[in-house]
Amino acid sequence: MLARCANGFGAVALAALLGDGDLASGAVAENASSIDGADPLAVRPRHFPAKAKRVIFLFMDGGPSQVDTFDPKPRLTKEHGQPIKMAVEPTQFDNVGAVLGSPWKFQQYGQSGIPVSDLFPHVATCVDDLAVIRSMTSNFSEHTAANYFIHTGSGQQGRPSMGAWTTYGLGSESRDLPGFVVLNSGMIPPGGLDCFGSGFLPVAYQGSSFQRGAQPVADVSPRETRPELQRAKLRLMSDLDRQLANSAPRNDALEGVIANYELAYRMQTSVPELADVSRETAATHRLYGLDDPQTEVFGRQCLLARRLIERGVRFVELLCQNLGFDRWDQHANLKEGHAKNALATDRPIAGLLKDLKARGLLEETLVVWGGEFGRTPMAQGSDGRDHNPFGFSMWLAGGGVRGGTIHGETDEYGYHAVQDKVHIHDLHATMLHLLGMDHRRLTYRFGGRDMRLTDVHGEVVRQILL
Amino acid sequence: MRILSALIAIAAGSVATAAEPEATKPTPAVNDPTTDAANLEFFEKQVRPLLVERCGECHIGAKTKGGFRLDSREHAVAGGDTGAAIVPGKPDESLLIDAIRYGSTYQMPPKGKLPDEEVATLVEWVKRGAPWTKSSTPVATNAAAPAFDFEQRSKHWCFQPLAAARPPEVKDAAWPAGSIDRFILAGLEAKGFTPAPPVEKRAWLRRVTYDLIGLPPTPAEMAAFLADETPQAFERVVDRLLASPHYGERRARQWLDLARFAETYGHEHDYEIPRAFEYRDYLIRAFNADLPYDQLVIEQLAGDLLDEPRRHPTERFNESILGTAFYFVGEGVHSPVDVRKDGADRVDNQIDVLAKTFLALTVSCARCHDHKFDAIRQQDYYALAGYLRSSRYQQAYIDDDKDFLAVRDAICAARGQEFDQFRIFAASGLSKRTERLAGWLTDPARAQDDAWKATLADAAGQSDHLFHAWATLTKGPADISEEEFVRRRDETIARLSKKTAGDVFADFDGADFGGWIATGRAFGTEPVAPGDLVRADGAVGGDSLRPGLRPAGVSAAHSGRLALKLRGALRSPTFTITQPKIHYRLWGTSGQVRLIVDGLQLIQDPIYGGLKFASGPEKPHWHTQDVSKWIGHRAYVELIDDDDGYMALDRVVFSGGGTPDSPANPMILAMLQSAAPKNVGELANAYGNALHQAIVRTTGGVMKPADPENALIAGLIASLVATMELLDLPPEFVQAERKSLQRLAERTQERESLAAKVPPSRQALAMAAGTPEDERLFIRGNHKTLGDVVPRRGLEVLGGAKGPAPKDNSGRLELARSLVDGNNPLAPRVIANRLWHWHFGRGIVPSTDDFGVMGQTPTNPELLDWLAGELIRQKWSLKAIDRQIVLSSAYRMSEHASPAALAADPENKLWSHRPRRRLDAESIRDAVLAVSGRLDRTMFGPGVAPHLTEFMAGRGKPTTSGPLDGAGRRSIYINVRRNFLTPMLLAFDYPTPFTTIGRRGTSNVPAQALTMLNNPLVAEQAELWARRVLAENSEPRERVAQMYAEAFGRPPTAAEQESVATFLAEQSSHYPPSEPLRAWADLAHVLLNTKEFIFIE
Repeated sequence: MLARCANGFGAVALAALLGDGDLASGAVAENASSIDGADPLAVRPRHFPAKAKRVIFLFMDGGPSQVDTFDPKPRLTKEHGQPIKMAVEPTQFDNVGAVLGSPWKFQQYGQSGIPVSDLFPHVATCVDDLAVIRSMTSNFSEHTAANYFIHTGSGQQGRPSMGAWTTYGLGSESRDLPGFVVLNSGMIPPGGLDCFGSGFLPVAYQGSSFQRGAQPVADVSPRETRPELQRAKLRLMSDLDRQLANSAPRNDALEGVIANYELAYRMQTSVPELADVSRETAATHRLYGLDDPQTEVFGRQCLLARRLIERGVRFVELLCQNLGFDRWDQHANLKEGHAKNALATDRPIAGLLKDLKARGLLEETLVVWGGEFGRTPMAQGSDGRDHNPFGFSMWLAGGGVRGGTIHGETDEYGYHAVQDKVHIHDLHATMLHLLGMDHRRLTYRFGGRDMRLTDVHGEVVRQILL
Repeated sequence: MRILSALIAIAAGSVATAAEPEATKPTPAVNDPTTDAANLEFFEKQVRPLLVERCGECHIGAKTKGGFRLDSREHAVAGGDTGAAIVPGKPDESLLIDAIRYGSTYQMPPKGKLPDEEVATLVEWVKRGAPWTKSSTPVATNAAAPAFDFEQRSKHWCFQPLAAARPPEVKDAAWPAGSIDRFILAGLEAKGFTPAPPVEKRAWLRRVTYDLIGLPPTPAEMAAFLADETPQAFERVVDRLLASPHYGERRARQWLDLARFAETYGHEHDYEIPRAFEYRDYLIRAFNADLPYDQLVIEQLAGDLLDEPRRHPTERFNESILGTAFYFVGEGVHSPVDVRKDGADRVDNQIDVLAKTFLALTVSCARCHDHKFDAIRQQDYYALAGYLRSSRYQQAYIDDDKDFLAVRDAICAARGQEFDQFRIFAASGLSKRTERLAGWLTDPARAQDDAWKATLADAAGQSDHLFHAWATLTKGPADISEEEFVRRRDETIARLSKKTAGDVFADFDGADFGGWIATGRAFGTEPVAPGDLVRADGAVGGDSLRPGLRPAGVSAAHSGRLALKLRGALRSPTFTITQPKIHYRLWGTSGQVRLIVDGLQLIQDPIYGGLKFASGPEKPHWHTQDVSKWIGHRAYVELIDDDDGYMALDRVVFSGGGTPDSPANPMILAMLQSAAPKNVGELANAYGNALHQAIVRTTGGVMKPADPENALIAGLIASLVATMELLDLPPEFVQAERKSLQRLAERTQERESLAAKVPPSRQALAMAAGTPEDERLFIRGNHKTLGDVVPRRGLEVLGGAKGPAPKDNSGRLELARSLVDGNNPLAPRVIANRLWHWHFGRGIVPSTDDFGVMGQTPTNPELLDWLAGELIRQKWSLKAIDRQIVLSSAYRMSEHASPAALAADPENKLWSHRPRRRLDAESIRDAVLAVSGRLDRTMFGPGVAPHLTEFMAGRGKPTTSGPLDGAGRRSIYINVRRNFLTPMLLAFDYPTPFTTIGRRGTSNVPAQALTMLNNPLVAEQAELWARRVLAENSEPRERVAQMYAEAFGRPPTAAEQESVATFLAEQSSHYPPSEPLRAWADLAHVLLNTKEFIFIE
């Protein structure tokens, strides 16, 4: 109601904020967000009730091998070194050779008895919370297009990322942080930041890339050497803005921009506060692996992910750490590369799952693990695997997912999904469903079409739902 | 469950009908397996349940996927969109079986492969002829999709001819400044509204200056305008702004949004699109020159095809062709695994951008099916795709030939002199040597001559070597029998006469390039013929005395004939790859050969490799390309010499296997055949005679261009030069020879110094004509399921189906012309609407890029048609329309709407007022630079490297960062890297360049505030501004007044002066007195952060 006044609520709010000095106060922010029905991040009703309120996407950039992680294939070991007895699809490098047995052993875990390879001893202890999909398929054999595809549902550049769609659909519960945050751990996937773009959706839904370190967001640190210097400036700005607002008819755009300074001002404090994990307990540090240099980087990101969702952020995506080689993309040195990647992420991910569960957050948080495609059961060189979008594994946990489930299967080589195939579009449909959105109804009119994350495809994978 | 029960019902119904044959009493035809009782039982018991269970969800019932229905034998056999699904009796030829076996076209059922025994059942069923119980009831036709009613759809408003709209009468005759205002006012008066009062002069100047040039008015401009109280004051401003070079920058930047412009390909490594900035500069010049819009359209669509292209007025280069970069400033992929699909995606984007930009139609929706709403069929899409298939990417050579032609003539003359001297040189020694050749060859000393032995070893392996026959026939012991000698001779003749194995795709033996298209200057207008002068190169063997030109030994496409500095390209006709190997016989010092498959631009050689290679080494050699994975694809060969060297291509051969033989030396073959030597002595004499006669003919000046004998002579001279040092001569001959050689070197020197004067080539990104061809329709948009060929034509709804399909060329130029021939209502409407959108912030049709059914309808259709008609009446002058719009009373309205109008029309559809608007991203950045005084108004040229921050991450990140302030250049000159767009601009809604964005968003995100508050650029510029103001003015209140004038175009109010003074006093108290700048810099920073700075009234 205040917003309809000529005075401009935003200016009032900022002035009030500067006056009372309570920078982290959410109360003022709540009011400010309702300044205008068009607030792009306002919380919006779901299509139907659902458990999951938010998403943590653990993006395993480069494409982990399904047959070395969650999809054991004895036939590979049996026929190791022999030519594959199947038609071979074109791959990125087109020089795949003989069958390559997995260098890792699998064991069954938990009540569900889901087999997990020795790469993930910690995640394995959480299998009863996981729904492992062994029959993922994608449309692209090449990183960039496949990355755009898993993120945006299109192999081409420039479409909205699923985090942007989610935030567009549900808004954000955070008033101090963006709705869609990408935690950059050192490796930006091929395709670049457009994997997290808002495409034709308003820029408010774009993924905000948080760097590691004390200043995770661009331009979030005040340039003024002392807070009172900035406050004085903002006071003058607010004063001058109010004089302008008083002289002009009400203008939503103008009011919105004024109000925006308030959020920006608060982010100067809330973002560094978020990044500071020093007040977390020593047990929490250990749980996430912050006590070990080999797991410290990804562990901190997992902990930040929890802190972000605690603060109402809608969609958090974690990127891979730079371990000095090319993420999960082991065209060669499979043994060394996969082992290092797994080591860096296994304990932190298990820590995240356990921590979420202990805090009662897992129920309403959908955790998704996987890469843009899997890897060939055949060797590239002597110790590598090429790209394989025809059948690979991902897992989901929390947020309405039926734990302890294995869904779908690949053929005996683990090459093609043959049973209960789950296409990337189906994954997107399922994720939106878990969040309470019908993927066919979450649309945005652009270029003469009602665009969807799932284009004209997608089916919810009901078998993995609670 | 609902679906499942429906399926059960269908299945039950089917079984019920199966019981009915008794009632209908069909007489089973003898030997007809499809009605055989046992087969029918098999069908009912095993096949039908399986079809219902496994396929029914998508292929039985009202809505069937892919048009494929499994509800009757007729439908099952006939198949869906991709044609016949079953060949009765032949499972291996049946698409249905291929699909359930997870073949390459379909993998059905999509969720998972059927168990082997079920596959076997269906195979068996097809093998038995696909028996199917006849239904007593006629099969219902597919009623799901309503028919595509073209007539009905064509009635949509945007396809109707331009109405001859006349400005309506209005009550308030004083308000309208022109025709536009009468339309606006009539609309308002009809509702009883009054237009908002005009803005003050200050606000109007700020508004129109940002609108037309994207920069704030200077205080001097403001003062001059305020002082001008004549009625022409407004017109004078508008004329000044329209004449400003910044006008073109403003319009060009708006146009770049339509063209999804970037200077890198994005995708994985964000590779450069070479010379993309030329397109940006082209647009700036074109808008500044007020290039008529119809020409602007034609140039962007087909500027490469104009017989008389428009040239730059002073630099004379081809302007028109630069427009075609429009097609190529989009995304690109370096190593697509499915090249055909990638090519189709590129074409899709080109059609998408073309149709949205010029026609505001979403044609690319019809890639997979007829448009859901608009009068656009799938055929329309593929008719347009044919134009793009018939066209190619190129880095065009855009120079005017005037300067070059003079140099070329001089070089030609020098070449003549050089050749004359060469003949003298040849006569002085070579003829003597040939006289003694027979004796020399048969001299027993030859057997101990190591150099000669080495020559023969080479010659034995090279069928085109001058002494190949000698090496072959004299091999081994000296005393071979005459029979053996004759046997060897005939065998050699037979071998050398044999044609090259494989299919010769190109041999360059003709008078022209045989359908290959040369661009640039390097390759000239025809191939080099044997005997033509070329650089003494590998074609003539290892020659220590080869400073200059020699007659060519074989015909070849050659890029170094006139000068090594010349650059150019040569492209083959498009062909279908049918054999696994392509062999190229070539040599050279520079340049590349590329195979362009399905239009795949080789940003780099793809990861799987093998599509491009260098011409070298200089010795003629075969390069074999394995194209087995591309069989069935369309391709062309591209030779590009973009360096100071040359490349030569003798022939291109397609084959299934190994390297083809090199062509024989024709002179030696002729010699063997005519002299028919029976022993070594006769062979020596034959060599001597043949070579001597040839040299006499040459030195006597017999040799003429295109003389068929040239090949013989050329080969001879070439090889003789190579071997002449082997022959002993009396000293006086050697001396004379050296002298003439010296003179030859001088001639060569003269020619080469001329060749060095060749002007440099200017190149630019552009389109080129390719082999004209049509595209096939992709059924459901899938490039693996091809439908009928769709002849090239324009959109049917725009009359495109009427004209004849083009034959000898792509027809792209005609297509472009048809868009702006005055009959097509869309092109003028779309641009008129864009102009309105650019001035008012919203189009008359708000959806600027979609005039179709899903777009919005015009708020003022008569005004839109009048503007479109006016544009044509004004000979398509955009500036003429700009001028009328910004001088209208409608444009001059303030934000103070009448309460009645605001209440009844809150969306301002009737244009009763003009709300305050935020500036666009570039204007904000440019304004910051302008007020600080940092703005560098330099125009054109390669972009300034973007400033990189740690938040701009990813592959392809430039190794060095550009300056923080972009060297002070306007935002349009910042190099647009698709994956590394400038964060400040992005925060303010700079569009992601992937398709046409005619209407930018105006969002409101904290990043905007954070940028203005904390970004180092803004802080730096604020300080710069303060520093300048402090230097220019000493009195604090005057300083403040100056800052207000520069930033807001107005003086501060008393209250503002008061607030600022208080702030300065307080802020100064925090800083040392020795640093007065700091408080002022803070003030400057605050002013940049006030909303007034980024909003225009």
